[in-house]
Amino acid sequence: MLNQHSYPAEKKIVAALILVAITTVFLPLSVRGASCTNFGWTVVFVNGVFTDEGSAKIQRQDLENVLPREINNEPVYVRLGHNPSHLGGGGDIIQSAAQAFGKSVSNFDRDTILMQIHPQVTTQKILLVGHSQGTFYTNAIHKYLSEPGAYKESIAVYNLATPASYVADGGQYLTSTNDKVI
Amino acid sequence: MTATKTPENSTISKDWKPIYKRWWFWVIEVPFVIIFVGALLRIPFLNEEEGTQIVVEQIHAQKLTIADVMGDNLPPPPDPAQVDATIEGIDVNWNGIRDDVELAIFKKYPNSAKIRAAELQYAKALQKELTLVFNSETFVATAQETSRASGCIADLTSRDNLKIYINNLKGYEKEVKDLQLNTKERISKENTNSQFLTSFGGLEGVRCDVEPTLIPS
Repeated sequence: MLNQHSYPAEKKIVAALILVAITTVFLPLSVRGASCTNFGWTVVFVNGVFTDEGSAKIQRQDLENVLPREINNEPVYVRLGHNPSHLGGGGDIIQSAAQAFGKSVSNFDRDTILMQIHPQVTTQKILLVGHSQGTFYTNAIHKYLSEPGAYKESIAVYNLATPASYVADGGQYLTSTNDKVI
Repeated sequence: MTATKTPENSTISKDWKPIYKRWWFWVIEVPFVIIFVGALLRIPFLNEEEGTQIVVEQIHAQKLTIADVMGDNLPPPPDPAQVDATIEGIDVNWNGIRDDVELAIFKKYPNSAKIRAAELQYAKALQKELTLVFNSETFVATAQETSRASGCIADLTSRDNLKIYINNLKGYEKEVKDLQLNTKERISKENTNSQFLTSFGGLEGVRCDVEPTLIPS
């Protein structure tokens, strides 16, 4: 008799547990799917060393103004991935020198930029535009975003005045023979 | 006859201790104290968050109107002694644009309301940068408004010839910046604001406060 009464209760508990398990497994996927849409383009500009903050803001704005507002009827969003100066630029020189030799002094700035742009990047199609030291971060962000599970073919990099030894994803490059720095 | 209570015949246990001397009192009390003090310390930050929210809304809410563009409420020439006395300057018609800048734009473009509209919107956005920025949130809000205004200026010129397009865009922006950032104090304030820069994106939607098709010329 007791068993007959407790059976429906147990059934409810099991059903509830299954529901919780399904929600736990599938909800994050649906949220992830909803957060990045196939519609639209996001351009992320990462500024370079010694770029004062006011200039970084203006450079983002200039880039937004020269780019079309829509491509194939899909909106183009331009975000600034702010690469802040450290120790009046001295810290950036050390970081750049290390990065130029393929070493990363710290992923702190890359991760900070990723954290900051994360809520603003809502499209799967992403173009990373780096200038100067910012190119190290666009390469690093490309690598991070292209890890298994991501939409590698929808992420591209365009670097300007790059001191990096490569362009992410085997991108082509052109170096002036007059460039004494590189 | 009443009996006098002495320590010897007191009913209170000799082990009696005030409550604050009992260990369990502090076990219960300390978390409450921590929570209470923490809540008190949060009050200024809550006020700042609320204040920030109000200012951010204010930054995005103040729009240029067609009346501003057509000069329906133009201010009188401001007192030269007062024009540059403060960073915010004089704005007697309360439209968010400094009076000397507003009059200069009208003087330069008496016959082009479209250019006036774009430049006035840009001046208004730059004025917000000088007067309403005190943290990253307010900085980003003003930067988004400046970006919208810059986009509105950009729309004045066709993109068929990119060189002319960029020259015109930079030219109009420079005209307004030269008027707006005309003292050391204003330039310094603009530069100081940059410490609040963080990653951000532009606003979606229309760029011009006043729809260009509603402007006669």
